[in-house]
Amino acid sequence: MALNRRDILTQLDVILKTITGITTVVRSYGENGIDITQYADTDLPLIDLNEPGESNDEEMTSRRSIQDLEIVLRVYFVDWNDKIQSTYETYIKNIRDKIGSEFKVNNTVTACWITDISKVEGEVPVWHLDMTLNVKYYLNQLST
Amino acid sequence: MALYKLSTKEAILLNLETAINGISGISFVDWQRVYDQGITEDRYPFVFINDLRIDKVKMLKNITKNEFMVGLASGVWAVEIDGVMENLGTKLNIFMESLKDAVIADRSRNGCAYTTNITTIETDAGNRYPQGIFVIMLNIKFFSKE
Repeated sequence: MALNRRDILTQLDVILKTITGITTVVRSYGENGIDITQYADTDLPLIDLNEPGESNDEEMTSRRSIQDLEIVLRVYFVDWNDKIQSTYETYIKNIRDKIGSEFKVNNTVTACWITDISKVEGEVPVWHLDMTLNVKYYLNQLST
Repeated sequence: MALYKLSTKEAILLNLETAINGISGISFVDWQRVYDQGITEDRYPFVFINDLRIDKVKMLKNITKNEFMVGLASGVWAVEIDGVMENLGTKLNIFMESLKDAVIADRSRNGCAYTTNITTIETDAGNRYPQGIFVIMLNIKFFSKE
């Protein structure tokens, strides 16, 4: 089976859109991701799936290699409290559970797991945090 | 749990006026005035509510954060009572405290603002004796649609 980043990212986008509590999933391509000021409060919670960098993890025989995709999901949410409530923790749990149950991302990767979750940043009422995914997949350089 | 709503500077200024009108002994409140020409002695102490500046930061497409600077120009008048002149400094300080208390009693401006902070207080250093003038600068943070 020819695995490639195009299918991985497409399927990851599909999976993220099924997470309970998440209203919007957007793919972005620039270094800084999306401009959140272009979205209304009703669009949040929102996941910004930024186009990842890719690196070689291990060269295999027959022109195959294991690749690492370093995907950062930025999760935006609205909370009018200066001491934010724990509701965002539910989003994190739901994202983590979904990634955990779909760790092969609809059979496009060998493995996908969450490695880091950042501190919550931002200010009233717009907050965000980053979730880093480590995705490994076989790249067959002949067939892709 | 604090709840905030989108608001306007007009609603905030109206709330400020209501709060200041509640100060014991206040004689006159007006908007957008700097000088006290024409203000007779019986209209002291007075407070002028001056809308000075708003710095805006767009947070979302439909939510803007506003840092609203308001200047409260105020005056008191020391008078002679039973042959003894009032201490202008004391009179000014007492009224200043009353004004500060009135302004920060509800920092949310009845739910219209996120917070209200006093940033500076400046006096005329007594150069208009027996009148004493001071200015309190406020920074009011609120959210609006635009």
